Amino acid sequence: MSTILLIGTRKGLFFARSEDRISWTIDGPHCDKWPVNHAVYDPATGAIHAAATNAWYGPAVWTSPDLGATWSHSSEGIAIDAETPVTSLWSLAATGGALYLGTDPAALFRSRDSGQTWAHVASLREHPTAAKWMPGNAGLTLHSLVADGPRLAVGISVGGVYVSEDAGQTWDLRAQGLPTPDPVDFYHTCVHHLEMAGGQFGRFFQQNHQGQFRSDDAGRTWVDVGLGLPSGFGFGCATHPRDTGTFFAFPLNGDSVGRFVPDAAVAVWRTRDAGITWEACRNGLPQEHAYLAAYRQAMATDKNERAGVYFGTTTGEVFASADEGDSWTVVAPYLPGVLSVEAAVIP
Amino acid sequence: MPRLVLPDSLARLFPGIPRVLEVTGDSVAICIADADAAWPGLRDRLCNTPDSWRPHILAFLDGEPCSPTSPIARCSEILVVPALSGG
Repeated sequence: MSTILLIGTRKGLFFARSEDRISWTIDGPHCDKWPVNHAVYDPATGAIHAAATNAWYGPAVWTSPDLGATWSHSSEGIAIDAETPVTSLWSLAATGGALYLGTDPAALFRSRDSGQTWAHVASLREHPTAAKWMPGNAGLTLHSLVADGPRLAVGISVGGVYVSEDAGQTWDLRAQGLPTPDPVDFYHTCVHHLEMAGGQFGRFFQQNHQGQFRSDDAGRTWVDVGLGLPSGFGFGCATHPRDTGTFFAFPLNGDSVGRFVPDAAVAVWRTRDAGITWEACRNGLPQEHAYLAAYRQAMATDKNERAGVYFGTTTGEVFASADEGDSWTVVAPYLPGVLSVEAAVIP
Repeated sequence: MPRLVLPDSLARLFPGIPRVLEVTGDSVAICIADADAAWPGLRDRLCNTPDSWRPHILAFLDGEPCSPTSPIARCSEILVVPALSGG
């Protein structure tokens, strides 16, 4: 079994490959050095897909059928309508023979031919609350995608968490318990990242602009689980692939005081009890002068027996833990700023 | 035939494509559609909407700035120029 990290950066996609998760081989940049907001491995096809956007030539999904040896790219069908071009691609998810794509402006697309052509899932933008969406600092982005067969959950900034249980035919805005300026409509919840926990669609972990939240009912209600963390603010977060009680958070010092790790000392915070208690995992991580952050898609876990945990930083480092956060090593020290990390275990 | 002249940064996205393509059509958009038929995806790299260039793309028709809707003569040359953006 090989573990491959898909590392989206400001200057292309990089791979880190390892047989033992101790020694890593780096290759890249792939995708003609286009900025890559997210990349995924589709176990059904063996293909890697990268959501990339070039400043001159626009957005395209790059696809490699052979783990990076060859690439093609396509944006066929990635258009909301004739007057609303898609400006950038943000998130990908593969499930049940379909590939999903989230964009800026916030929209959802689906491909049934491994990324060669795309169709707009128009029902999401037809939700009655869609007219109230507004751009955040990074744009009006559909940045989080959780897909489990016909069950889909998306995170939109600034909009909230929307869930479909019929493969995108209908959508439900789910925000009960999240901080919002509008307790009547529950729109405008500033989700920063959304993860499914333990492989169970019913349990979600969310890093929000205003805290960390857990849902046990597929997003219908949320509880604040940030007590014990140094800050409610952050972007990247991750969950264990099988244990529904283990989450990983990467709190930053706050939204208006620099947006780097508290005290410039790096820690991944881990809970084993679904957010009741947290512990800082620092062994092997920089503990001084580390003015960095992990962006919203820059944290991941793998599906090995003892789960690996990974994160990439705004300053271009990638760190790995092969023991669920107990200890950390550097995978790559000098990449371009990291926008996303995903981990794939290849048979 | 009209000729479509591509910048290197665009051509390298389509392995094997010539830097100068002979195309057919009586407008810039139709000529680009003709090129897109042979090299799928080329139009998406140039056009934001069917009638507009991407924000950092310019094209010149026989030396004059043009849009996708510009009519074209039989022996015209369409020169695609990506902006020297940044700083």
